[in-house]
Amino acid sequence: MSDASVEIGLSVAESASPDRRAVPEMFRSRLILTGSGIILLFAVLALAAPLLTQWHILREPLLQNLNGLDAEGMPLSPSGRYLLGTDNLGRDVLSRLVYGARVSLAVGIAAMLTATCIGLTIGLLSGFYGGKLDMGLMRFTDMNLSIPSILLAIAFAGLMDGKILHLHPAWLHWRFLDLKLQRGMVSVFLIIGFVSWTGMVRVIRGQVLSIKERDFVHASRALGASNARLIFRHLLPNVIPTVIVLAAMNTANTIMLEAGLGYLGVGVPPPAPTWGSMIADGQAYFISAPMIVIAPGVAIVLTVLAFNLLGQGLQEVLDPNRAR
Amino acid sequence: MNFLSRFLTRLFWSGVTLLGTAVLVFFLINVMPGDVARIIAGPKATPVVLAEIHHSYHLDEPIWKRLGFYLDQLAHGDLGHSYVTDQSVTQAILTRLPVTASLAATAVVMWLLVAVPLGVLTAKYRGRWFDRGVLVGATFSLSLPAFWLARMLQYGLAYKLGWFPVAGFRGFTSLLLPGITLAFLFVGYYARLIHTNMVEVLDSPYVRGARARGASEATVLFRHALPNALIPVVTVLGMDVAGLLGGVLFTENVFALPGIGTLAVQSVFNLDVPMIMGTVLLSATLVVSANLAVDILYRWIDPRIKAGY
Amino acid sequence: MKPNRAIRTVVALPGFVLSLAIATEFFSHRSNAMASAAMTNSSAESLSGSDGQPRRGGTLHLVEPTDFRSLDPAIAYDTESVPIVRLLFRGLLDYDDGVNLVPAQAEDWSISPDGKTYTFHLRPGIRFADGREVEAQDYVFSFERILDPVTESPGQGFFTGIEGAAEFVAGKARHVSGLSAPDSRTLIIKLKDPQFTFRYVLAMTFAVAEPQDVVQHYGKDFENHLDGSGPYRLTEWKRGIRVRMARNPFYTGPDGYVDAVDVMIGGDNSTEAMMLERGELDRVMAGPPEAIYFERDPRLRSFLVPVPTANTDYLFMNTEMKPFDRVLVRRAVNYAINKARLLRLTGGFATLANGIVPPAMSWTNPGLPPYDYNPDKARALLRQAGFPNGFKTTFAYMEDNPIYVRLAQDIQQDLQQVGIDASLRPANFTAFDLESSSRHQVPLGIWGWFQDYPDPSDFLDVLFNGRYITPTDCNNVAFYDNPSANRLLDQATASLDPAERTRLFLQAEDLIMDDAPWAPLIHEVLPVLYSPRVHNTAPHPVWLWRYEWMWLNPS
Repeated sequence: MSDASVEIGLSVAESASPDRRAVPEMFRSRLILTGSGIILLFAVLALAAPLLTQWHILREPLLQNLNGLDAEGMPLSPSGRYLLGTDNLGRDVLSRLVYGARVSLAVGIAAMLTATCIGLTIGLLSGFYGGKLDMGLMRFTDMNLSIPSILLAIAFAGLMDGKILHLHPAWLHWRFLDLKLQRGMVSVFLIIGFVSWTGMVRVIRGQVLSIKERDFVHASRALGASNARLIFRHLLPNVIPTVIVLAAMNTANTIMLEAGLGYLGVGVPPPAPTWGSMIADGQAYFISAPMIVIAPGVAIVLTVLAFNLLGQGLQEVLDPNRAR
Repeated sequence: MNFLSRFLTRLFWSGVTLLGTAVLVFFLINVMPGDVARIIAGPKATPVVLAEIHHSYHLDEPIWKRLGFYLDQLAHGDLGHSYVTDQSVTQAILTRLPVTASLAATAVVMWLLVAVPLGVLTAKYRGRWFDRGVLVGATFSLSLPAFWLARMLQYGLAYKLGWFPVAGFRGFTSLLLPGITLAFLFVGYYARLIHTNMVEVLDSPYVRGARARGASEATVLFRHALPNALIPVVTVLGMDVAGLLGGVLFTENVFALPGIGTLAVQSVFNLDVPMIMGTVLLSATLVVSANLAVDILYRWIDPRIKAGY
Repeated sequence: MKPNRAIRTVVALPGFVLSLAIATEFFSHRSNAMASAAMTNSSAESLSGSDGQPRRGGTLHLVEPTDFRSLDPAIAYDTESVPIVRLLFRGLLDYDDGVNLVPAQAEDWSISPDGKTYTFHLRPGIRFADGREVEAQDYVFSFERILDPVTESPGQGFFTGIEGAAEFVAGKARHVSGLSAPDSRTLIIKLKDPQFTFRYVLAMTFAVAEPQDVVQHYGKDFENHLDGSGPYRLTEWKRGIRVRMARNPFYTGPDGYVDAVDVMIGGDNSTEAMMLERGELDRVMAGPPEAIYFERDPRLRSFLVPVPTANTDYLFMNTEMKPFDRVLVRRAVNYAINKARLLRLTGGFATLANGIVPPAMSWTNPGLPPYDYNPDKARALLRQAGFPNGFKTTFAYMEDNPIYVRLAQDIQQDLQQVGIDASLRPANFTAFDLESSSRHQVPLGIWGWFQDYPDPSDFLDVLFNGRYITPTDCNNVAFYDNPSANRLLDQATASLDPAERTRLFLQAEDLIMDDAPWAPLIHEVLPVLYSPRVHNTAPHPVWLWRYEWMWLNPS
């Protein structure tokens, strides 16, 4: 749960453009290869899941099947028929695991992108403009940092129960502005995105502060470059390597958060298979059928581990000085 | 700037942060529509009863006025009453805080006891298989979901092997396994952190000087290098309070420990808004004061550090 | 009482949908089955130690997934809190090991020949946990407190038969005229009309003595300062954390065996079962998965005690709605259901229901019309009723209870077989309760009823007397109204002669089953896990758990 990205800063690349040598080096890093290998495997499985079902390799993950339960209505243990056994409703655990990867990866990556956009924007603005804006934004970040992200996320997710939020004054009947607060893939990734951007801000801000004092930035500014040009041509390209590393590590966090919300029953709602909710539902059958809990947990560990390894590897390649 | 004025500035900003958090959370939770009175009275309540509840909870007032009421309450140290059990939120939090605090303390001690030697040794044997192994192990420990790990350890170590109590709270022994669970989640990160700092310190002229003077390896590592390497750890510990509370939330739930985490999850399930806000504010207070404490402590152990803002 | 036990099973699963069920339980003022069980040939005795010599001492460790709402005897009214209230408070009457009433705090008691006046003499020297002697006036005060609308006691309805109660409730009288304490040890209760079942009301945990001075001092806060005259006293109640009880030093009745009772709050079924197996808990209410797991493991089988409950789960047909207004259709449905298969779905934790009153109430009715599984006969009856091609209807059930979900899905298939196309409509407790108890809302559905006190009137009169039908909030969810049945039930409830009552109730049950507003399905059996160190675990037919009777092996 620890927010690893907080402390990870990268020393700034020396030139205006990122190091070109980094690319071939990536293919030699065992950390990167292992990490991306696992991610690729899950991604392919996730994408191919509907096809696999169509070809009768995987079972339908939502199908509640009396044959998947024994005479007393208990889940089946792993066997040739059901490789990982069945769950409490007679559904195939393996199939739900594979379909769960779709939810986990989609929500995790979408949340990471959301968080990166917010974190990057605030970090850039804060570092570049400084002064009162910096002060205000950093206070706002501090406030967000002071609440455990999982607590904030469950508070929001828990309050989303199909209520309708009117974003317009009562006398205006602009129904198209009404927002239905309903838990689904979109709201879950947005919630996770909105609670996990804080780690990135300080690092980016620090980098921007140091880059903007560089000669090439001063030179560019002297030549009359606009603020927008300075940000997009000079600052942004220079923080990109850091952003990539942080984003990889942040995906590990967002996937973990998604699983946590699913476990607490406030994630993507049933019957969609998610790893967190599989563990939660399986707990009631834990002593008799531990596999229902073990399997999705292993899947979470592998995916999160993969993104963390990828992040580590990227850090070693993109910032060899810092990652020793 | 002298110490006192710096401290006061920090204190002021901590207060601002907390107040801001309180207002932020108040709006985020109260802007959400949905009739609180219905939560309290149940779906069958008559309009009269609903109106009564609206009145007694000030729900019929405009939101800025309710914010005023809320902040006024807060200023008096009153977090309101639970919508569900009518229990005082402050009371509920205070009875549970000791459990959570002792769990967190147990966990911190456990993971530091493991992380420090690991960090020192991997720095000494940098780049060797041992170092790489610990790196992968550390990444692995970062990747464990707290709720799942808690279940696994509970099943294996407590239920199957009987080394620990399975769940519940009956004194210190009940905290051991939850502590181990939490320590597992953090030990890798801290081992790496100490490793990184050690590597830096070992390269410093100060340590090279000590070596040149012929100090023994153990003296160099533990007398000269380690204390310096541990200073940044203190900051991170302060900043990690939020992360730790996140882990506590799940661990307490699995081990049925009556702490803040269990309370938070229950109140979210019950849509018990005062209780949710109470737990959120409590964790914010803990995090902010931990940061403040760390800031002061840091300056005290390492006076070279200059004022930030 | 309507079923809420499902909620317990549900609490174990973290889940937002489920949490609504918990919330419902919290907010609903009406739920709360006070289930009761029978000890019909309980297997519990097999657990008792070989020497069978009861032993004093030790702490009994219990667990509750969520905290008790209240342990105030005027408020507590569910299967979990009532047995705890019984430890802290005692009333005038109690049950023996069966369903016979025995005096508890009463030295002797008598009912006048017209059945209207109850006179009690209190035993001398009974005291509250604070040392003060219990006086008859405390009983008058306690009964008035339950009737007082301010208290919001769920037991109010049980006491409205007392003379002057209506005036008191309406605020027209300061005291209930039918309650009097001529001296400190004599209590006289006068009823408006003779009411046979009032004696059972006096054995409920509502009808205990509360110390007038203490209650008046604390007001609503009394539940945090409970002071009763039971064998134990409350020593600690940390909300949401634990409840602890120790011996009441002033208690003069037969002592409990254990020195203390410790109730942990929290945990889920799976964790609780693991704790029990490791000896950290002494009793756990299991869910079906744990129960089956324990049953299958020869080492653990003896931990499991199946407790038959005085409950009936039933399929009701709204006799006011088409096509269930036709008796032939209702009989057809009775013949269409394969009950033997239903039984399998419960994992064996149920017995088949053929009638309305559960056998756990020491009730057998040989005269019931037999509705064996016979789809051909069902089809024939439907044809006869004018539905040769069957019909379409909707089928509602409460989704919070996993057993109901399974029953509903299975019955739907059975009905399909005879041409009835019933589309399933799941609802949560509150929604289902609201709809099913309102007229013309639910044509077909599954519901259950738990005994309040061991008398058949609690099933037959309460659920089938057409005179009690109300547009909403009606317990007679089939809206069954048959004048001859009403007459039989009225006669039976008014009668004070036990033999005559039984005869009339048997007749009424036969008649109702012939009219078939219900298809009775199952009587639930609770799977309870006991640590092998606990003895005397036999469930009581009314109280279910008598913790003061349990004793522990030396540790």
